[in-house]
Amino acid sequence: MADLVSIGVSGLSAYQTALSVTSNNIANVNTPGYTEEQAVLAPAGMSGNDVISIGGGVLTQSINRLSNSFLEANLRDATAAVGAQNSLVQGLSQLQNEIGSSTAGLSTQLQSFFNSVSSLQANPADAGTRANFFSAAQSTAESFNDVGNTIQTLSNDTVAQINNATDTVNGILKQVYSVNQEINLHASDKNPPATLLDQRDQLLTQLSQNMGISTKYADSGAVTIYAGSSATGPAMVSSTQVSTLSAVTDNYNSGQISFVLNQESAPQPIKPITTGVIGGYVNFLSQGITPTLDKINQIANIFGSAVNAVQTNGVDANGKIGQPIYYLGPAYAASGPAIAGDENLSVSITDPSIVTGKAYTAVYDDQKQQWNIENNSTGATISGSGDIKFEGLSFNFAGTAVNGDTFQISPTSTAAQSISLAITDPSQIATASQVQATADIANNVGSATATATVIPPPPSPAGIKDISQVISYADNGSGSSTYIAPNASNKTIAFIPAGTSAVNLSSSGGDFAVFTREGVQISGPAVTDTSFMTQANGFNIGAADNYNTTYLNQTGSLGGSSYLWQNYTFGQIANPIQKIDLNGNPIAGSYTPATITTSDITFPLQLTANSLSINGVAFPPGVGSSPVTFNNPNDLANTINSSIDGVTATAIGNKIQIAQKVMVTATPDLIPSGGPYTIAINGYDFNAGSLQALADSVNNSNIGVNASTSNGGFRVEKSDPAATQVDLRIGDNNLGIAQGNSTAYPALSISLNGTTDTASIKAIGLNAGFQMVKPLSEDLLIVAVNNTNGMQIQGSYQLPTATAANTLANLAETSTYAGAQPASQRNWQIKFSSDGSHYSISDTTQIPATTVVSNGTFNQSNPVIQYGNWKVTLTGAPQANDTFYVNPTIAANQPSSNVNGQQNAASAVSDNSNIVQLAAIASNQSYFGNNLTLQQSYTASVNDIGAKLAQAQTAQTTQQSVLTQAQTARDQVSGVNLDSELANMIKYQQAYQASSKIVSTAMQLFDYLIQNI
Amino acid sequence: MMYQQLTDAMSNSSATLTTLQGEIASGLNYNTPSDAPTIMGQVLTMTDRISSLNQMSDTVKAVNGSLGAQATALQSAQGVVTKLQAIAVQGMDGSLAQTDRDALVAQVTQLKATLLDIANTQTPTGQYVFAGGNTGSVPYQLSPTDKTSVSYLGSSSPLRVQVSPTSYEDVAVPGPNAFQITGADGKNISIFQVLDNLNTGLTSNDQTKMTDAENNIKSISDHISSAMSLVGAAQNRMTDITANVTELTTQSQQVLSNVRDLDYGTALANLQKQQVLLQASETLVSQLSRLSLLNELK
Repeated sequence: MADLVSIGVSGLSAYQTALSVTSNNIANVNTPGYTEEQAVLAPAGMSGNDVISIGGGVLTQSINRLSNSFLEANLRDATAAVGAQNSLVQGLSQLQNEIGSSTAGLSTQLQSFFNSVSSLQANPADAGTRANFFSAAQSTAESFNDVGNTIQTLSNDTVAQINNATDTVNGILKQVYSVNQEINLHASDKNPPATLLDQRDQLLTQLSQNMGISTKYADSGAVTIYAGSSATGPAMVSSTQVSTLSAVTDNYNSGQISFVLNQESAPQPIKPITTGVIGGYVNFLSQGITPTLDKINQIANIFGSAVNAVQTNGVDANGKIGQPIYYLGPAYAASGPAIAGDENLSVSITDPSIVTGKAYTAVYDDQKQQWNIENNSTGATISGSGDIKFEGLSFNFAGTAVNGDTFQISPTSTAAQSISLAITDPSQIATASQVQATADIANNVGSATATATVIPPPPSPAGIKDISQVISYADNGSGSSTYIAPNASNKTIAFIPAGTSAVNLSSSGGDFAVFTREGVQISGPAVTDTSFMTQANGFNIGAADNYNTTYLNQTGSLGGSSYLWQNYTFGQIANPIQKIDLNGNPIAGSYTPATITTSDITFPLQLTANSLSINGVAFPPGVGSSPVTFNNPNDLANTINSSIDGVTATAIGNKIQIAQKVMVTATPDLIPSGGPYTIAINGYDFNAGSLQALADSVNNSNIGVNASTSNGGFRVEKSDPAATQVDLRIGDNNLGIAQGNSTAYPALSISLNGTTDTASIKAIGLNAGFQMVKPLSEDLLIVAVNNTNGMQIQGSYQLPTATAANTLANLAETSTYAGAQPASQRNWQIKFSSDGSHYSISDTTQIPATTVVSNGTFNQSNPVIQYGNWKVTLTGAPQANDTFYVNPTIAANQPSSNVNGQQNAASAVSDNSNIVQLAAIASNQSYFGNNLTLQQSYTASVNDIGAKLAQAQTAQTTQQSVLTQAQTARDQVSGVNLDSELANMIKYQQAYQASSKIVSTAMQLFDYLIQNI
Repeated sequence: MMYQQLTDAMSNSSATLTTLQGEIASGLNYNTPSDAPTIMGQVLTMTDRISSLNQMSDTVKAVNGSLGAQATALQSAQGVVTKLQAIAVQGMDGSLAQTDRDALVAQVTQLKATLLDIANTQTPTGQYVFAGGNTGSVPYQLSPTDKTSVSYLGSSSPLRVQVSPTSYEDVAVPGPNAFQITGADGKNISIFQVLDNLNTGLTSNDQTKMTDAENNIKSISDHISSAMSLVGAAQNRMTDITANVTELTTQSQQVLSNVRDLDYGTALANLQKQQVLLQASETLVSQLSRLSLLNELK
């Protein structure tokens, strides 16, 4: 009976618990994170005797949480993925809204810029079109600024969002830690408290909204959390500790974000966060912000540089070379000092073209009392104090520094943000070309008109060595000898860069010829096959067709017929030598006159009359080009002595030594008529009644000096010119001879006399060579010819010294060096031949103005004439002898004495030849290597954002349904289903009622017993 | 759980409805690049192209303005030169008295002034048409000292304007190409010098000078005619370009309209469909809310 009661009571108690659990479930049906619980009933212990056993009723064994950790983890992953897509979609939509407009974006602004270019070139003289272009240029810069700033702001906002989410994460981590502590307090209980576990799981879900996590559980139910998809690396929270998460932005590149734990105390980097709200923003920075910002900056840079390049190639309305329209460099700011000093640092930009856009760190070194500045990206360093110039920046330190003081210097803006107008007035827009072509209106018979544009000058010959790479250059200009292999015939060995002077080259074993790049041959044997005059050999296009021998082997400077009246010699040239003392100073009056000694000559020697030139005088004397024969060395020496004045030839074996005489001459017009005459020579006084008597007196004195009279003049010369012991010193005289040492020691030259046949120079035992005294303003090419057995080339030269950097590439045609002007400052004349089919170009700034530097056949179907850095296009047919001029636009560069049709040039205000070049920027497809123009590139990057957004939106939908499924799966197990709870309630209620019936039955049985006993 | 799904379905439907309403309101198929990234690219390209075509058409109009002004000026000049030719012939008539020739001199001087005005013609926007590239300044200037001789200060090169991405047009012929010829002596002479010579001839009754002048005037008349044909040809080219640009603009606008403009039929049908879907979801919610065991436990 007692059993019956206790069984009934156990049922009552068990079902009351079960009903409580069900009620609790129903009550928590809408509680987030609540996990359905279930009372687990079990039969109670046995009672009775050995024969039979009766169960002891029911007891509540446990209350189960219907939780599945796999499904929970799945749900968290899905939550994190949706969180990531949500923030990515949010970021991208914002970006698209800010820059994606098809009607008001940068693309439209660029189009209106190019439209304004079109208006301006149609009417450059109009102030209105100029102002229109100016404002279009300004609004384009502002458009770039807007887009750049917008994206930068969005980038900053995103970083702020990440920091907010990080704060949330840290809050949750702390809560998880305290829940862990609570759970651990109940570690000894059989069942951990379900509420704590629910709290724990709820916190984990909240955490996974912000970032993807992985978990490990202790037996107690305490959780250890790791970032990312695997439970490895440093724990963010565990039973024993909780960490703080921080986002670290690269100060100089906000697109780069990394995450560390405990940054303040013991920094520990963790895996990149790719999911959750934080992961979504990180992805947005790397996929949305960074590529877009980079592209916009690139477009801004390319656009600005291209516009500046055109602008600086032209001339503005004020007649000045155009200044860059846009400033492009980033702005810099310094922060610090980090330690203690009271100094400050100001950073400014000195050369925008080389500014790196990278960040720098400056650290003070007390020992050396200097600042060390380092480029954080490249590691390049510089040290100094005060104002330090480095990589286009000026770092100006002021105040007192202490050891270890540190400044961080970072770019504060990007190209798109900082592009701004660098000119202040529409008149500074360079519409005009640097050169103007004009027709000689007064004299031209034809009515052809000419327009000129500036083009890039031909670059230094590609792949061809300059002379210093072939003949090594020493300080004194002398060089070594170089062997040229026989297969190098009709090939350019080297080029002599513009500006090189005192060139003295000779060869043995073969010949070389010297050409300008336009195909004018200056020296060497004439060539019959011009097919080697190619670009590969350093010649300009068309040089082979324009081969010109007018100046070939011509000598003579002023008034001669040589190229630009230069003193060239194809032969040998010798200079006097002056002795120096122990201190390296020249010893007065110690000259050795210029001397040339030939190698052995084969006699009898036959030369063509007048084929050679000794000191500019034709040799050997004879009629026309008749042969002249010399039977022996003395024969040759005597002929030289008798026909060439001022030199002494001596036979030495089969060699001939030719030396410049050391002499002074009194011209007849300075000698007073009627004696007596006096002269002091080398300290000896002479006087006589007549010139002849004076000469005799000198000759008889035996002081190593000869005197002579001829044609009323008087000459004193050293009898042995090579003798160096005594100089020729002239003292008091009444012959009009300047007193002092005779220092006029001319050079001695033996060269070909306007012939192209090099046989004569070789026949007299001399090597063929090339000499040039003054520098030229163009490159010369040295070409090996007749090089059948291999040849050697040697000699000396003086490299240009006017520029600090003696790099030869800097000495192209446009550069300046001593005595030459840039091509844009010269004046050129294009003269048509008497049949109108050819033209020749001369540089009228040079002396003589008539030297033809280039010539060509005029082609009416392609009426373009090009030289150096300009190109002229003719419209209409030029007639015989028509002349066109190419002059600088800048008035200051026009020659004062030579107006060359200048009065009929377009002015700097009304010419449009330069501004039309700007239109080409709009259609240039080569900037990005993908056949897109600037505008198309911008459109492409806007579309790219659109495409990414569309993709992210699709992914968002997909992830959302994955989340729904995960949620469903979890809810099926752990969620509260009202229907089943209600059913349970009825079930438990009935069982409860039945149990109470057991008790009441027991009671009735008991009462019956009591009454009947 | 079921409620959540229904809520999601309804929010999707309303989002689609919002997009559709936006399209119908703007009349455009696509409003943002993410709606259709590739098509949006086409739209931007076409918009820019139409803008540049419009600009080209403006430039051509400006060029045409200059050419028109020059054509008119050349025609007037030709009229004046014809009169001068008649005067020169008249002057050579030996029977004329000096007073008659003096009257002719006065006429020539008058006509020379007219010609000078013509040679300094400006377009409505103030460009000097005969100044070559130097459109901003007066090309023919009367000598301030002798008040008779005229010199050309314009450019010998015309202003070359880019009228399309690939073609250039000389806006006008420089003055000397119309008003200057090479005389019988091989030297260049301008109409103004010829008229001065004619006046000298008339004043001194120098038949040779008058004959020379008459010949030169005839040559200049030919020269003006050839300049007129040059200008005419250029005007024709401008007309061609204008027609071409108009055609291209129309085509581009057509393409733009094809890709961008909304098909109202489809859009309205979609709108209808989405509304039905939304209603269905809403009905479902109300139906579902009545389904519960509780109802059955009364």
